[in-house]
Amino acid sequence: MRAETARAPGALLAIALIALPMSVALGAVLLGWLNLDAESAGYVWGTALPRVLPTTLILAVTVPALAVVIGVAAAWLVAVHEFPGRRLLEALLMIPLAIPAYLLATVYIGWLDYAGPIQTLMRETLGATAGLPAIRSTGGVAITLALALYPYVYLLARGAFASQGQRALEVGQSLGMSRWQGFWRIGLPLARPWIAGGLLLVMMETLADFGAVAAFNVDTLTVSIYQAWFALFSLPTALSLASVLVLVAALVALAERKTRQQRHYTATGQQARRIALHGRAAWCASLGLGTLVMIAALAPIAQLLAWAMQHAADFDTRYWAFASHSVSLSAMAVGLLLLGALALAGLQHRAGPVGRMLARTAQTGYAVPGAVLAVALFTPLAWLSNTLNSVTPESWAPILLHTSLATILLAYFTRFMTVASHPIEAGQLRITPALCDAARSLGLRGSRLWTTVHLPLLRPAILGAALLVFIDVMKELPMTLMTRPYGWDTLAVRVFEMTAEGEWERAAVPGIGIVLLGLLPVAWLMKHSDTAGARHAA
Amino acid sequence: MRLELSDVEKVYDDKPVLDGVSLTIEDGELACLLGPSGCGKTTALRLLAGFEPLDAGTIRGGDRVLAAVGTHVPAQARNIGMVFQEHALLPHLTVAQNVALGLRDMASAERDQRLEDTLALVGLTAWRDRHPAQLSGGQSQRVALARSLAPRPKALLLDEPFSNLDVTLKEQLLYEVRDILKQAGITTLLVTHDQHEAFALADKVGVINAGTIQQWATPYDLYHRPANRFVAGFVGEGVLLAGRRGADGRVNTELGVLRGEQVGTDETEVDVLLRPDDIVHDDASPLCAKVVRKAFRGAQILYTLELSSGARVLSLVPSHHNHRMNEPIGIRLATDHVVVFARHRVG
Repeated sequence: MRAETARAPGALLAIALIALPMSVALGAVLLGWLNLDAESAGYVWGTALPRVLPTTLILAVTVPALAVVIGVAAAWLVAVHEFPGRRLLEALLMIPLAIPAYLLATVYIGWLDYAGPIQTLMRETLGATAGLPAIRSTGGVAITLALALYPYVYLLARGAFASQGQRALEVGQSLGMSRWQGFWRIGLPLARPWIAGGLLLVMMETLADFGAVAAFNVDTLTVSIYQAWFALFSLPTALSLASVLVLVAALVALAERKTRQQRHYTATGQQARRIALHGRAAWCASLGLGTLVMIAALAPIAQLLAWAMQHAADFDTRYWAFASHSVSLSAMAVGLLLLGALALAGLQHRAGPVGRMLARTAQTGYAVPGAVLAVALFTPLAWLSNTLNSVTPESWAPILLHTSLATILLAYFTRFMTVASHPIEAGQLRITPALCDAARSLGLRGSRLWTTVHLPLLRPAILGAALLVFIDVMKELPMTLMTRPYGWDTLAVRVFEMTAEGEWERAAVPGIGIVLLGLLPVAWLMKHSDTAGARHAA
Repeated sequence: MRLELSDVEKVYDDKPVLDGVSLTIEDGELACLLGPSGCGKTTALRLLAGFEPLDAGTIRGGDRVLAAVGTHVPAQARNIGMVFQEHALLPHLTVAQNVALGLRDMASAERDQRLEDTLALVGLTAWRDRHPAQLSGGQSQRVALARSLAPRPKALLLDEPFSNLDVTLKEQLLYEVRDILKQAGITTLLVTHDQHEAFALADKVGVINAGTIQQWATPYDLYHRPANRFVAGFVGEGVLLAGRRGADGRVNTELGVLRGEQVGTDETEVDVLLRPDDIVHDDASPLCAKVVRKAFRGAQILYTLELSSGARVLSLVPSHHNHRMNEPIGIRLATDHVVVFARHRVG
């Protein structure tokens, strides 16, 4: 065993510390049931769950299904074919990643609601009874979430198709299949682990969504957790509801991890040549994808801009405070999470099997919906704060940990560790054992090894992780809403408040800032997803 | 099915990749395109398969024109099977399901029979319910072969199918595959950069370089009667030694007069191809050469020998003749074929 891989108690301790909030949160969720009185239990089983669980599950099935249809079709078109505008569309198809689902919801409701321009126009031209089916329904949420979340499927499927789609078609053709048969019988099955991975990510996001369903007035588990806390003021009720959501989310997360193990690219001999589409097929591809990009990204952004201009009067000094709260919370979260993720990456292999298990625990935060983490972390911190208050001199009080920045940062730290860790672990794959051995043989050790070999090679991954965390925190709604310190309203919170009051158009003023900042990491992803795919295929 | 390429050209990005390729593979023949990477061999295969259109020339399968300028029978309608380098097996299907992929539009009894026959042909009947992840490299190779043979294609194309396998496995598999293909009686074209594969598998080998066929011949002829310097250098080992043709027509070199079948030019000033087996070690021979390099190959040692002029030749010697470096050893000529090329005029 090499000296560098020897187990270090310090490493185990550090990792245990990083995994602590996640472990505490999971513990708190389970303990919620113990403090549940009979009346609350009756509410949970008799009222809340029967009302929200069916809707939650329906969304958890229909949204990923729709997202897979959209994402796979788009990925297959752009990864294997050539048609006018293909390059541009390939990039634009990722833009919905920059638009939080609750903002897309705001725009769609503004357009399609009873008082919106489309229904008004229909009534004026087709008569007073003309109209659309109720947009604020489970179906409306499902379509909105699918349009907001399909890029997860698109990204993964595109990578798989780009590296093996062409070959799949050739195998099919050599067995006498048409291209269509080749896609169904070979291309699709070969890409199954990637598509399933994207599908499960969409499912996780759907389960965790709070803002979009709240905007549509469709009650799901996340909404019921929020209501239990802020309307019923019953933490045990909120925790019990959270435990149900955690259970469902954990199953999805486990399945997602499994699909990741099945993803192996087989190297193709040569660079695949795209199939050129001509005539009507080419126009259908360009127009179809163009329409999708228009509906899911460009038109909503244009609408948000237009609304923001109309309500520019709203833009006063308070907005600088909202923006600076958003930015400073994001920046603090980025700093903390990068430290944590780098520590996990650097120390994991020295922390033994228990350490690896703890590291995995720390990295599963993304599977736990924000609404759950908010209640789950609040409880132990409130207890800690009360205990501290009771043992410390009067003059120190109030320490009030639970309303301080600590709670919200801890919540971000727990939920977004996955987001920070994932690119850094992927980047670490580039640092091969041989490279480390070579550096060691030249006498580089310990921190010098890290600063001369690891950090420079990890730099793009660190930058990517920072961008992703920054925008995720920026967009984050339920945790920010539930655990923000008094007076710390952010852009996202402002969007929620405007939406809750039915002021769709005024929600655009804070919303457009989130979208524009969100385009940065998407641009980074566009640049790096190609090279990441190529690296896998090589 | 007889396969025929006549004057086929293919251009990628203004660069000719195939520059007038013509070849014929007779029905049931095992042929091979052999060449360095980037020589155009894979492109030729892809044109035959129908994955890409050609830019000039004609491709015929039997009596049918498969491709010409303005004509392109789509790949799925050519009835030509293909085995890919990376096998491309579907990981979620069993061996039997993979093999049955191309068996569609058939009565189920016929399909089952065909599946059984094909699995038996490649010796995988016992493995039919395994998944690709549970197979060794050689087994997945045979599944890939079985999958492309099952629909009974009229011809089969193999795209470097052995290059991911280790040497001992490859050796064994090559003969198995040859037996299977001969038993199936299927016209086959293999593409490879490895001459051992080509020699072990093929009846006819085409050496291809820079988009043109350099020679289309049996492995024996490629080695002993190479058509040009490229083929002489690419296939087998050997050196070129200066020689001069005497009045009797025989070629004389510093090693003496060469006897055997004359191959190549009639010019006077020539370079003679000497293979390692053309020079025999003989302690009794008055002709000596100095050992300057030794490559131990188990049963034999390949000696590089320096002649008095400074020219070097190769000699393959049974390995119990273990001589030291710089030691002069006796040699004599034992040529069956005298392959000569016109002298390279430098400058």
